[in-house]
Amino acid sequence: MRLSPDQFWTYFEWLFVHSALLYGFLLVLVLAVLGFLIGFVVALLKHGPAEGFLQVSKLIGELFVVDIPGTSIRRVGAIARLAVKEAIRKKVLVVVAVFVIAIMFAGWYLDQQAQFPARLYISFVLTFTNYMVLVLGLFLSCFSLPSDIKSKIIYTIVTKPVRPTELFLGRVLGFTAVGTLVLLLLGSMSYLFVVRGVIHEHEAIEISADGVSGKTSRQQFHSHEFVLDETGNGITNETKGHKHVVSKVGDKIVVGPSIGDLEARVPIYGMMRFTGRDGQVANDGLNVGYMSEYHKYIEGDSLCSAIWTFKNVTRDSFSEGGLTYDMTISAFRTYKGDIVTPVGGEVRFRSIDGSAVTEPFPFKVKEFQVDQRSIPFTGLKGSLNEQPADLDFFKDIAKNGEFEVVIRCQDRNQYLGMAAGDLYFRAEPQAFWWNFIKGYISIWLQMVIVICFGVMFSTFLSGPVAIIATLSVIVLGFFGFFVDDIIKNADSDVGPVASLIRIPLQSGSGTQLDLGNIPLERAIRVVDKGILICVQTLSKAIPNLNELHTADFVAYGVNLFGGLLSRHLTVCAGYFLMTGIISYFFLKTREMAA
Amino acid sequence: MNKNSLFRKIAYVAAIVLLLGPLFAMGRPKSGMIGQLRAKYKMGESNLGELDPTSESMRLGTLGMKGIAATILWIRADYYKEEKYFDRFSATLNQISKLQPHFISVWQHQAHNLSYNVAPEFEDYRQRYEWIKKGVDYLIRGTKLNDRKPILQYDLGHYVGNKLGKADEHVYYRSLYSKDQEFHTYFRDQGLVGIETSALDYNQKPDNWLTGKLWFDQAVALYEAGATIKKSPHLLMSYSPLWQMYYGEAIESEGILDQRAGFAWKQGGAEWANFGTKSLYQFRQVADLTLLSRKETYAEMETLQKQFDELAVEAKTKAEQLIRKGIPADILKKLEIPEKDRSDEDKSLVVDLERKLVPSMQQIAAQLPPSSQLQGLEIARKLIFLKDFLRDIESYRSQVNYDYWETRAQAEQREDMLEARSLTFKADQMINEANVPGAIEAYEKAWKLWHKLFSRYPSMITEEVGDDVVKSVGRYKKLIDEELNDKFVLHEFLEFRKLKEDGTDGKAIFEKTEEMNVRARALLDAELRGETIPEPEPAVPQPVVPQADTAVKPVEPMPAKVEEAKPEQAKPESSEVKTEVQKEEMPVRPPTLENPDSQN
Repeated sequence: MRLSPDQFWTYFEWLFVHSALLYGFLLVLVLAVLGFLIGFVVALLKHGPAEGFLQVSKLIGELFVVDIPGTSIRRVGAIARLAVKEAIRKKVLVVVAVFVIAIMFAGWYLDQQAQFPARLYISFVLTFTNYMVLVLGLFLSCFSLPSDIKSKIIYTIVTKPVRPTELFLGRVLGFTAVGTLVLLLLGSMSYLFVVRGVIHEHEAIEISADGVSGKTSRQQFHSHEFVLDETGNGITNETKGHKHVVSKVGDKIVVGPSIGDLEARVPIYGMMRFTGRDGQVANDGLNVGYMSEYHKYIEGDSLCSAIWTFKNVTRDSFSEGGLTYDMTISAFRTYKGDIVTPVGGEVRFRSIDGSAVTEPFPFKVKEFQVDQRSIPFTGLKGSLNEQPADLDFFKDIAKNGEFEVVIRCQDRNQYLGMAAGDLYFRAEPQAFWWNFIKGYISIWLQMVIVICFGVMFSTFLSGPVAIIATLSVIVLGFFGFFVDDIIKNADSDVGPVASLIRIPLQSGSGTQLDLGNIPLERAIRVVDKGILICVQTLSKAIPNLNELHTADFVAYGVNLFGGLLSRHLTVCAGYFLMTGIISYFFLKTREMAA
Repeated sequence: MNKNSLFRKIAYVAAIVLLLGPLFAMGRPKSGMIGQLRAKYKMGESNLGELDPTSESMRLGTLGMKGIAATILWIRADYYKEEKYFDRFSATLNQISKLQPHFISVWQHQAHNLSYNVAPEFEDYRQRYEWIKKGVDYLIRGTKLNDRKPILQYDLGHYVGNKLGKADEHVYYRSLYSKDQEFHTYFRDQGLVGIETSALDYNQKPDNWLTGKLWFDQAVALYEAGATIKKSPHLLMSYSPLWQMYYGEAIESEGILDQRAGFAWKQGGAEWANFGTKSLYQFRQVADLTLLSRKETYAEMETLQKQFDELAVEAKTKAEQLIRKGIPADILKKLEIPEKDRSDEDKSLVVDLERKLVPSMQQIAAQLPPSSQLQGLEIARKLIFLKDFLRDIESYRSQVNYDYWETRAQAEQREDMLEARSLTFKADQMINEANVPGAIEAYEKAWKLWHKLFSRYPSMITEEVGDDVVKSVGRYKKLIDEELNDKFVLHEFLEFRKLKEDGTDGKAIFEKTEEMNVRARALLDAELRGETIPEPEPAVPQPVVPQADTAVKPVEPMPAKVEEAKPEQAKPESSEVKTEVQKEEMPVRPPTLENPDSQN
């Protein structure tokens, strides 16, 4: 699973330290000014400058003085009920039927021999549900108002004392209620599908003569090996992403249910930096030649190291068993060397000021697996103020909950690769079902945003056009990062106009645009720059649905951080407000026109 | 207006009906033209392989957008591979294969991706083994859906044999494979006939080389049944016996150095000989080309050449004179310039001239008297045909390295070879046990045997066998802690390898090769006759002169040992046939088969 550093931010860090609040405020300001200007221009054309200004001001005033305070929950509820009835009349439950059919046959298409079946199943159900629900939201929200307007039903509503705010809120809440119901059904079925697909039982077979080791029976394309300790308990090796507890009951060896595939680890992440060969903070890690730059590498048998800084780690987060941490370090070999022994590294824990350092804990790379390790809280061998000492983790190293973890590679000319998310401390895990629900909450938030946009577009566009507009929002929401990539990488000669000219000229984008007319070339560059800035700005006004897609957290068994979910909720609320206000003005102007 | 509209609608309906008529006629399942064509060219889904409802429903589900869906999946697969989401990568490959079940390149390319590209990304060799298996499994699924595409079985032969048996991790892979009962059962369930009988090693457990061999056998059987494969038949057919020999090599390297290894090589040799008798194709639709037809072809050519030479003694002179007449006198004069005085331009001109002055057989036949001209032309035609035929045979033999493997199989069956290997193996083990005196003693015994073997089979000197011995010599040198001098038993062997590795003195290489071949031939002939002859002394490398053994009559260098010693064939001849034979003796390092030693 790939995590970016911004996903580790707490809610308040995101809101205040990383200026989300400020950006939100700026966006509101820009939209308000733009909205006012556009409204004023329209009113100016219709009524002249003075009357136009008056009309726009009156409209804005009514929103804050009349319509928002006068919004009745009862009327909103009534409209929401109508929206629910309308949705049911439109047979939205067909979506549930389609989903049922899809998961009935999902086994045909999913690789049942996958290395991590649970991940595959969870990814499938979450992604499929996500798309289904977004399509549902799209169709529900885009056709409702236009069809009311077309069939003139809207006049029976607007002639009643119903405010535009109530119309918007009622519709959005109604459709959201229907979507939530459908999502609940899909979520329940998905949960059953995943659990049913993953749960299995083994029997102990091929038990050794001394009765302490053996193999399990083969189920779901795998089996395990196990060794029992002197108390008659043990854990199998990890296969297909899970293990089983094995215990001796009487003369019989019992293999327990699987552990590790349906889980919600609670990771505590830190920020990472690298040191170079001289041991100084020097680089961003090495690139060993892979296309993907997610992992950065450190050289073996040198002073190169990766250092994580952790904050706010307290004793309360861990059980009595010790300080548990997981690593998913990868290796890159410049020569094959010893084939059997994996590349080795070492971990040290040290205080921020460097006064307390543990002795190195050696490890061998377990590539593409979670290497679960732990250290005791006390009695750690190491040095305190350069004197050998037995260290207490929270007293000597993690003073105020802050400390560093240093990783080095031990083997000469071999490399260890890592990213910030590849080392984390594992607090007490949470229940998988709750993480699963949080995954569905993310989907729900996306659905709400789509419904908001759908209702907004339907206030001034016809049904099919509103669909296309909302679909564009969804597509840009998922693939909007392309726009950013293009703009980031675009130099002055590859804008849309320049590209259009290059086609008949058969001129490659890597060459300078040469039309033999410098003023013309300059003009093209200016126009291109303008277009690109417009596109970039517009792309920012569209929700980044990719960020809200959290299926990986659930699939990889990582607890979806509360901070992240809160951010998503805030973003959703922001779009709800934005679309609500825009819808209000459109409905109000329509009303005036009517 | 309404009338027009009605007429237009009627016209549309009529056009639809008219167009549907032929469509219906052509599209009828059995009697329709399309159906018949499908049956004729075996293009029906059921003809291509097993029917897969999942694949069918998935393709239908794309509503004609299969191409787009497949392209998106390919892009995603690439992304997953790049970002190392291997589980998702594998899942995406399954979806691609469902969309494109009959696109053979998908199976080949992605199986290669799994076994050769993804597997090495894992640090633990057991995980690597599992990913190699995934590639194998992917190919097997391809074979089920495309049962007339032997290229997939051919690839399976390579993956199971070569990837597991030649990778750096081959010792571990072979051990894992041997114990992987589930995988063997899976092979059996997927229709690999013989996995529980013909693919068993000396320990009665399936061996990867022998399993790979069975896949090649399946590929050959399909090819012989009429399926097409984009591989030359000689390459396709060579792998099964070759894999048998690699099995012999593998168990020897694991310390099985007794009759079990000898038997493996014996079987390999027999299969290799059998491969030599297989018809690879019809040469000009007239003659079956087999790799072992070289001997008969040489004999026939020799006889015909003799007949032609006898018939055309005078005609040859006439033809030469006629050619001379056609060349300007000033150019002919260049021939009279002594070689040392010729300029570079003259030298090139003379070489060209000398070639022109040799009349072709047709030119000679044209100068024959009318009574024998027809006979002469007929012999000339046959000789030209045979030359071309022989050229193809030689080419194919060289491509599959036929002579080397034939010699190797013979040598590896010998008891002294097994003894030599056994001593070397024991010595290597003694080093691990720190038994230095024992190791030195075992090595020294082994060197004598290796010397004997290289004297009889010199072509092994520069091949894998020689490579292994050189490594052992290196270990021996470290043990005795001194440089090896010209008294060392394998001095000649080491010197010749140096000469070949250097490669600059072509003449010396040729002469030394010829010398060793002559001696080897003599020694082997003597052995066949049951004579006891003194072993050649450990050679003195300089000067490079054949070390003639007066007790043995040297015979002419003939290709390999398949040639039975026939006095009349052994006589030196001045014909072109002789030249061919001599050229064939050049021990140029044979090209490997499609790189069987390669690994990723």
